Amino acid sequence: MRLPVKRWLDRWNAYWFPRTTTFSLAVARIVAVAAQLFWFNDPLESHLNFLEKNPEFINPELLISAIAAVVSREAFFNPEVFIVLYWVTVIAGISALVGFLTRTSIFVFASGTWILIAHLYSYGDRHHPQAIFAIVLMLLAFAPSGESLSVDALIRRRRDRAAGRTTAPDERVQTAMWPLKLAHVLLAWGYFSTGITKIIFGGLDWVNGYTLQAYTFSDAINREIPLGIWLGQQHTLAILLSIFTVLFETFFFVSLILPWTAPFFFITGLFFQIGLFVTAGHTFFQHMVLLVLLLFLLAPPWWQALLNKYFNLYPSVGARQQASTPPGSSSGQAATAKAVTEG
Amino acid sequence: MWPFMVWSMYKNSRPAGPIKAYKRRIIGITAKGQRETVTGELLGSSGYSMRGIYAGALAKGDSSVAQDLFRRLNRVRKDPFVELHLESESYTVADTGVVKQRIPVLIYRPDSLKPR
Repeated sequence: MRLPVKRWLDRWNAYWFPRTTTFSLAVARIVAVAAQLFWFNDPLESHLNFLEKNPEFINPELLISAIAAVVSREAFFNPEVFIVLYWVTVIAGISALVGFLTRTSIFVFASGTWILIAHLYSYGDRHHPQAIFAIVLMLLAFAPSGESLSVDALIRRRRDRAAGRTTAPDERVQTAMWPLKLAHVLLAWGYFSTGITKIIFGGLDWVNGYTLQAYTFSDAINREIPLGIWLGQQHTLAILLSIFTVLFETFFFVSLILPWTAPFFFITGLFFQIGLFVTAGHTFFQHMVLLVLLLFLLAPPWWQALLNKYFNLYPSVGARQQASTPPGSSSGQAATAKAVTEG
Repeated sequence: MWPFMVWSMYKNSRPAGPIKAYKRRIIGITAKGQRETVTGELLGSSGYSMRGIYAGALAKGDSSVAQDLFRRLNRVRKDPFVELHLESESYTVADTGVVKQRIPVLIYRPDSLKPR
């Protein structure tokens, strides 16, 4: 009989470190970096305007305080340095996107992004949309995200060919999925803490309809969103949506425990975030991107099979499912060997 | 510490009652008599700060916030603001739709402690 500790350890490894190709991670890198670079990046002018108009920070973020403590505020937080920081971040982003010196590029890109966002949030207010996405960007630097679909991979293959070495075209590793799995956990944690604080602080009154009406109506009036102004007047609908919101946020973590439910939660989450945007102007686009990535890259086999049937998105789904069995198990090794041979 | 955050937004509830919202703008009057909307960009802050922190405090008659605004806005201006006007409307959900009501303008000056 196997020791329970060993069994749990195997389960832990099977969850975080399944043997897969690096293709999904590479797709995640390209989509995430491109989204940050071309969609979410705040313009340089915002930073320069804040630096010009504010002789000091108002509630500086810890990251900003730490930099100011080490380098001094005057030396680092001035337009000259920020112009350089901004463009170094952009160039590192482009390099990460094409996969050149991938992990170093992503690290520089994520670090620059963290500093730039923390800087904007050091003048009186801060918001949530970028937080989890920024952490996920940084995670990509600590995983083999440049092993596929990258200039690095191209250079490596060319070098191997020149040296007469043969490389498996579809090499499998155990470290390609943990960033996506952790992104899932972070989203679940974010949603859970949002939902549970509504229950603890708001209590039953949070689902009385008036609460959601008031929040939506206020945001929609100030942001001039007609759909939100209309929703702010619909009491019964507000009750139903309040119940849905609390249930969805609090129980999103179920998708971690029962992976077959994950696509339902990811799709629901996507519509939830779109709904918040079109009714109250909450711009959680980063969550939308993460949810789409998880929906396609972290999907359970039944979902992949469904997509494969209608869109032919996962042509090697069978082989990959077999190859994803826990490392160390004989069936997993056999499947991996078979899949690599099939190539 | 950003990006490791507490996710407790929109956690508070409210009891049954009228649904009401306020829309506020801060208008600055310069020494030369020009009218200029005070935006987050003009102040060097976010739009949310303008609405949520500054306009909200001015609506409650907080003159210390007004003095802080004058100090920040006039720091690098050649034509300084001599008055800040808080213009507001309330919007209330009624059976007939949304009822809009204008609220009297509050005027703040750099040297006065109370709005008028």
